[in-house]
Amino acid sequence: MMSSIGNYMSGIWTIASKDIVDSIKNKVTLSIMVIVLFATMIYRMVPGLEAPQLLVYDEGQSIWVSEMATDSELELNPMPSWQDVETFLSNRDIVAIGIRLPADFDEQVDKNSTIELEGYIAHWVSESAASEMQMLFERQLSDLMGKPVRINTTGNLVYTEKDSRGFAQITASGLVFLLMMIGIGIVPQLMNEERRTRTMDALLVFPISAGQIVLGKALAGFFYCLVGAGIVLALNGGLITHWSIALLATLSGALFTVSLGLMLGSIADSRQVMSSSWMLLLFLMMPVTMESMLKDLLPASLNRLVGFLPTTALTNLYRVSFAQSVRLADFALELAILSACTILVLVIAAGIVKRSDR
Amino acid sequence: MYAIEVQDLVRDYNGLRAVKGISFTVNAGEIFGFLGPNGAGKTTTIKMLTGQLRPTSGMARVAGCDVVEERQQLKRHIGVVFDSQNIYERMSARENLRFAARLYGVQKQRVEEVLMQVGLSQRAGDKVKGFSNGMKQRVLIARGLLANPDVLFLDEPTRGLDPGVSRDIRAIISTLAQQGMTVFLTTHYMEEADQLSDRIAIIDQGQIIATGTPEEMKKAYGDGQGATLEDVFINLTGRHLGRGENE
Repeated sequence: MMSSIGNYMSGIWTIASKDIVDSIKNKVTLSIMVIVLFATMIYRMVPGLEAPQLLVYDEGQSIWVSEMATDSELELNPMPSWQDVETFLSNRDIVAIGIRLPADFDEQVDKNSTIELEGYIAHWVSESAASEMQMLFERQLSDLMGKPVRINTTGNLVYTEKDSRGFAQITASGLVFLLMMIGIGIVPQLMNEERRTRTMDALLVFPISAGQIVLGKALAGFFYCLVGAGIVLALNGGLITHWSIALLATLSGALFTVSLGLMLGSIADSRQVMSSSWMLLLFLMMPVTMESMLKDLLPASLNRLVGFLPTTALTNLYRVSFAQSVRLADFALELAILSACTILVLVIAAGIVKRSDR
Repeated sequence: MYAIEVQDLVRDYNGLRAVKGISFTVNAGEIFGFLGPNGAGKTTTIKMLTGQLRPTSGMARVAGCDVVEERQQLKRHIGVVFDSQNIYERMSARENLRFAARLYGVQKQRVEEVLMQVGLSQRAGDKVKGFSNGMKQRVLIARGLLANPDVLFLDEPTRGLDPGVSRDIRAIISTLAQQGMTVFLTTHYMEEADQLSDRIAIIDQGQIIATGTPEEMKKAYGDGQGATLEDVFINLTGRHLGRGENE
C-alpha cells in the first residue's frame, strides 16, 4: 500500500520536476513569469513617485499651520480630524507622517528651545523611507520655525485594516493577479504543449495514469505560484503582520488558480485557452483591481455579490494578513468561499480528465 | 503463449466503426508487419494494444496483460515508438531518456545501455532540437527499449528518413528480434515489411483481409512469379500506397 502510494507520488513528482525545469527553458512560460513578476512589483515604485506628505491635525488654531501652508517646499496636507489622519495613513499608497498639534502648540513653540512632536506613519513604510521622511520634515520645519524640531515616530504605527484600500489593496490585488496569471497562464500552457508536440501520447504509454500527469502539471504550476508570491511577499515583508494568514492565503490562492488552470488546460486547445484565460481573468480580476471605483458605482446588492467572488475573497484574506488585530471571524467567510470554489473547480477538472482518459 | 492475442476487437468513433472485429495472434520473438492503406485502422489498433484507447468490444492481451483490465501492468511490458517524433526538444537525448527511465523506474545505467544500442552515446548530451530526423528516431527507439519490453510497437519507424538511416534503423529492429523481442511493426514501405517481417497482416477498412508470411502472401495474392508485397497489397486493397502520409 505504502509502496504503491510512493510510486504514485514519484510519478507525479517526475512530471512536476521535468516541468519545473523545462518551464525556465520555455520562452512562453518564462515570459509569463517575468511579465507577471514585473507587473506585480512595479507598484512598489509608486509610493516613491509622490513626494512624502506631512499630515497635520491642528487641535487649536495654530498660526504655524498657515505658515506651513505658505512654505512652497513643504508638502502639507491639513486634516480636519485625527481620524482622517489615521484613515489617510491606512488607506493610501503615499508615504506620509501624521502629526497632531496640541491646542497649546503656539505657546509650546514660544516656551521651548526645541520642539518635540509625535509623528505617525503607516506600518508598511520601510525603516529607511520612514527615517528619510522624518529627517526631511524635521529640517523643513526647523527652517520654518527657526528652532530645532524633533519628530518622534518610534512605535507610532498606523496599521491597515481588512477593508483598507491604498497600498494594502494594491499589494493584495497584485498578489491575486500574480497567482491568477501563473495558475491560468502556465498550467494550461504546460498541458497544451504536451498535446501540440504529441509528447502527451508518449506520456500515456508510460506506466503512469492521466491523473498523475495532470497532478504533475498542477504541482509545477503550484511551485511557480509559491515562488512568485514568495518573492512579492518577501519584498513587502513590512506590510505583513500575520505571516501565517499570508501563507494560508498564498496556499489556498495557488490551489484555486492552479485548479482553474487545470480545468482550462483540460477543456481547451491553445487558442481557446488564450481567449478563455483572458475572459476569466477579466471577470475575476476586474472587481478586485477596480474595487474602490466599483464600490461607489455598483448597487449594494451587486457589491455583496462581488464579495463572493473567489478573487475578492483572496484579496480580503491577504488584507487580513496585513491588519493588526485579527480574529478568525475576520477571514472565515473568505476562506470558506475560496475553499468551496477550489473544490468545485477541482471536481469539474477531475471529471473532465477522467472522461478524456481513453 | 502468444505475445499478442487479439479477438474480435472493435473500436467505434462517434458512431463510426474504425476497427471491425479483428482477430490475430503474434508469436513471441517474431516481427509482425501490420500493413494497410491510410485510414484502415492501423493506428487505432496500435492505440488499443498499447492501452491508449479502450476497445469498444472484444479482447486483446499483450505480453500476457489484458489491455483493459491490466493496463498499468501492460505499460511495463511494452515499448512504443510513435509515428511522430514526440520527444522533448529542449532536453538532451540523455535527459529525455532519464526522464522516461524515472517513469519506468529503471536504473540510470540502462539509459547509457540503450544510447549505445542505438548508436547515440557520442551525442547524448546534445539538445534534441539540433538533431536530424534520423537521430531523433534513434532517441525514440532508445526510449521504447528503456524498460527492456517484451513487445515493441513501431509505428512507421523509417518514415521520412534517408535510405542510409532507414537501413540502420532496420538493422536495429532485426537485432532486437534476434535477441527475442517481439516487434509489432507498421510501415508504408512494402520492401521494408518484406525484408523484416516474419509474418504480415493486411488491414483494410477496419478488417484484416489477409495474414501469413510474406512468401505465403505473395504466393496466394501476387501476380505469379516475381510478385512483390506491393503487388499483394494493391491486389488486396485495390489501392496504391499513400507513402509518407499519416493514417
